[in-house]
Amino acid sequence: MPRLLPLMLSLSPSAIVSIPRLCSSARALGLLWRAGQATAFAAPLLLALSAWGQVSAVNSPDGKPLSDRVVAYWIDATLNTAAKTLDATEILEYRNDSDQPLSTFPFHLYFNAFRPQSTFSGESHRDGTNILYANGEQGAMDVSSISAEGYGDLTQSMKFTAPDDGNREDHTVMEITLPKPLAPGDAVRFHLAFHDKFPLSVARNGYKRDFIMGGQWFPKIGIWWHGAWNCHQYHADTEFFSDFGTYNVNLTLPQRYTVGASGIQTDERSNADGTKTLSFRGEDIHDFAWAASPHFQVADDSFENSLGTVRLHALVLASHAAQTQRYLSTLKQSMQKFDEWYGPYPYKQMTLIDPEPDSEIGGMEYPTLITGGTDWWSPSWLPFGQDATVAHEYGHQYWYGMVATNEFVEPWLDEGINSYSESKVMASLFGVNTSALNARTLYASDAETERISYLHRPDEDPIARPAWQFAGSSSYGCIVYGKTSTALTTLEAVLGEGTLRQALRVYFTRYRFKHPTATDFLHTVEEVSGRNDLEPYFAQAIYGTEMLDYSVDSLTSVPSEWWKGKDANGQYHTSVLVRRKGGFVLPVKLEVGFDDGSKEQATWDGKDRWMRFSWDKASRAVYAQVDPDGIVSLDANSFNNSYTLQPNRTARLKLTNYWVLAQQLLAQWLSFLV
Amino acid sequence: MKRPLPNLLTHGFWLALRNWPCVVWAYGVNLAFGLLAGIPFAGGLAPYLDHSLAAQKIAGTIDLGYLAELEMRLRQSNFIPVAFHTALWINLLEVLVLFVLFTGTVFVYVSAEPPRLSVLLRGGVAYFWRFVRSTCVAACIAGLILGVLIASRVALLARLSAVYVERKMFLYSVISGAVVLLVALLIRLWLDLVEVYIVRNAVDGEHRVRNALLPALRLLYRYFFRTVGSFFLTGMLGVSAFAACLYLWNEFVPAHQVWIGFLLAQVGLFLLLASRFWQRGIEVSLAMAADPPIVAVDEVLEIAEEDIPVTTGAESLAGLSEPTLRDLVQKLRTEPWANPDVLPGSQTSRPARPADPSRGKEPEISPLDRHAKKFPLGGLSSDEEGTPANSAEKTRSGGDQEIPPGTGNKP
Repeated sequence: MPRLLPLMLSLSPSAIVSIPRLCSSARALGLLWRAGQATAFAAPLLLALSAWGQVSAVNSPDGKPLSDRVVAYWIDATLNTAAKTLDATEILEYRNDSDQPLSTFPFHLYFNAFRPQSTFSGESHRDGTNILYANGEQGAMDVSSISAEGYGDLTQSMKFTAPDDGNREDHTVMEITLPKPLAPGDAVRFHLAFHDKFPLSVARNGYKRDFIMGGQWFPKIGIWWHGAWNCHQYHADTEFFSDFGTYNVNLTLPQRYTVGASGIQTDERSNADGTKTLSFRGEDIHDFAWAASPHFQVADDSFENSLGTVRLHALVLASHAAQTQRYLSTLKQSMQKFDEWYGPYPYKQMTLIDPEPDSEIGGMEYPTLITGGTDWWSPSWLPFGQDATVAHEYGHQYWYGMVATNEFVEPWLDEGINSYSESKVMASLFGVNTSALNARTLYASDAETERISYLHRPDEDPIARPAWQFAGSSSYGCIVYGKTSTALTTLEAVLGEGTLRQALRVYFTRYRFKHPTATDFLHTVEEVSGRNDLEPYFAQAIYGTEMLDYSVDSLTSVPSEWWKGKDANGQYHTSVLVRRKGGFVLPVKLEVGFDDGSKEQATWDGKDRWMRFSWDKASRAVYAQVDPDGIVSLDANSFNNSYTLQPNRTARLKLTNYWVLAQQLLAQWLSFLV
Repeated sequence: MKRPLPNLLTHGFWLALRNWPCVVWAYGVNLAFGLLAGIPFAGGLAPYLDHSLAAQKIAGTIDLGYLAELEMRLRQSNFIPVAFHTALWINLLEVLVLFVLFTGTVFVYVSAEPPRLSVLLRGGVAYFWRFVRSTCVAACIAGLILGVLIASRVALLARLSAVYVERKMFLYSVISGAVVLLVALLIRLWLDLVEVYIVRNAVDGEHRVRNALLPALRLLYRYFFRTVGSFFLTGMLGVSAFAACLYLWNEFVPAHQVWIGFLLAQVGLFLLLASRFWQRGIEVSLAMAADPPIVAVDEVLEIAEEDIPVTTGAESLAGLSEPTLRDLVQKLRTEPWANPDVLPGSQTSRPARPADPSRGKEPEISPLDRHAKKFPLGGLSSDEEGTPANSAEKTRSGGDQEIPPGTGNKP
């Protein structure tokens, strides 16, 4: 329990509620809070402190909060780095922002997912990922007490619920009931004491060696959304959804550790027992994460945008020191692109964490903090690894961090839109065709990697589906990331790159620090593009599972008067049969090239199953191709989009050459063995 | 006391070069089977690539996205089972054929028989099962040793990974992997020497595989650094030549120049394969120089006392499992202690061999003569070896340091 509590209890309820909001001078508040010296006479001092020296974590243009701060957390935690445990007290102030009284309050206890009995583990096992929890590798979050000011001890009312699948052993959602409802507009202050056991790194969390990732590490209240509590269990593929608010966190841990966290650091104090206590404050964010390692090397930089200076705070492991500048460079360039295309980053700091090698932590997004991922050898010709991760996770500051959509129910709104944004940023930084791989004999674009991901599961699930209702983790990944990105790339081809970018900018500006839905996004696109005919596309691409596949079924180019023999009158009749092989209907363009260099184009609405096009010309056709510009990325088969009358065997021979070489080498190797 | 050895690298090289048809035949088999495996592969690709403009993304510098999509298309067809299963069976068959050819090559190198395909095959077939048995023994020993080593490596790396990461861990992983590889290669080298001894012992009248195991080990132990050094050097040269060809292909050949790429790859593969024959040449040179075959007096006498009619050359060559011994025994029956080099009469006293079309215009000399002429490797000269009393005494005394390792195994 924070040491400030006696002081707060001595104040009137309204003053108690107002203190955290008024006293945004985190440094001063933190000092008093930790010192435990607060007495009754300190109350006026606290209030006075709140009026000056305010340390804000955001570059607010008018000094006002950027979000509707529904929650405020004060957490005082002590980390045992040897046992990989954490003991903490938490004060949560929750304001009833709904229009109805609330008596039950659900909390997420995510660390309980990392047990074999949990829904997370069961679903992971079902999808082929066996997470074996050996001794000391399980995670746990035990809430030892909970009370609410004015309501007394609520510990006895705690119960686990499983709103999604009824798994009583899940324990990732806890619910408490107040003796009397909380009226609309009123606030309640909960006091919790909890104990965390960090799991061996799993699902972007936990520890590996002496690296500890604190993500989803505290009891977090659910969100009242569209007239109901939204507090889903932790599933194999779900992420997070919370209210905006403020976070004040004190973290005590050994001196040798370096910590990066959400928000900004407001204080650091050495303790007599060889530990230190770090204080952090985050504003207008909906989660708080940190990472600690004794091997971090700190590298700072800055980025200027229209709202002010953003401090770039990179904590890179010593083993990856050579990659530090690359991390910062990609981060700055990504920030530049997002700022230019969608809008400004309003926070004062962006923290980049380099996660422990060989761990399951990898790239992950948290408000104002991202984890990257690299290797000591990470070559510059392979931006797909380190650079794409940074671009992607930074993009989440927009699509998740600020535009805080429901990641449980509509995961495509953050992961999908962000994958599209990532591919655009990567293309601008590393080249349209080479943004994923740029080797001498091979190249690939980031957008292509998304498309290939989509092609692995093109029709298994619709894009718009709750995360835990996908056929499996593979389908979730391929559809939510790959298909959404590819569908938006195709939409870009339909609307124009500038129009879709403007639509995203408006969407961001309109819904930042809010919780929009798919409808909000699609309406914004329609509104900005001025197109009222996009509904069929959205219905098929976002809500449907039909495949998009057009093919050139046949191409003939014969003398017009064929019965007179070859080249009777020098005129040729060219006929092309185009077929729609999938159920997805989209207008397509057809191009036919002739041996005199001329080209003919035609457009087909694609509604029928097939269409025949023909031309009579003095030259023979060479090829026919649907989607000649290659912009319909959703088309599931690129190889049947065209047909040439003359075969070209170069590609076949080239691949066969590789194959023969591989077989010969394999045989030589085997004969060496025996 | 170690015998003075010739330069193994040069002698091995010349032995492989003189018997160049062995390499050529092996490469021919390698290429033919590779092309055979390529037929269903190329056939499966044709419907997707030959008439599609998307193939252009693969014909030049490869667009990995299109390649990945092609792979998915192929996986949806029956291409994968057809191409891969065909390749699997072709590879297995090829390994079998190469095994016979390598066996025949060792026979040719040791016996100095002409490196014709018929000789290669007959030698390969004659020694096939003995080589199979030696391979099985080596596989068991290798499985035991490498199993322990690999398990130790895994345990060691798991411990190290708790402390070390990235570059350091990579180095530890590479170093420990190199140690395992080194041991595996040493076992392979030992197996090579065992195979040489199997053929060499047949000259001495010894046919048991197990009696080739220890002499090969002793030989490897006695001349460890020269043998291992030569073995690794030639191996490295082969791998480097192959890598150099791939590098040239990658760096200097335009992406769409398939035939130049094919030729460079084949040159690299040929050189890689040739280095393996060079290694075999080194091993035979070592064994024949350090431990030249000496016909067991007892055995010769035993055979001589048998009421075996003197066989004709054709009969003696009918079964190639031990032609050198039989040939020599026939010669020694007519001229028991004659040195084949100094007693040309032995040739005249032997029944004339009927014309054997498979032997062509081979001079009528014994395998040992032929061997001594083709690669004078040092060690005991023919004159020295031609002193039967000494040889017999040395063979029977057993403790003499001068006795080559192979002779100690005889009863």
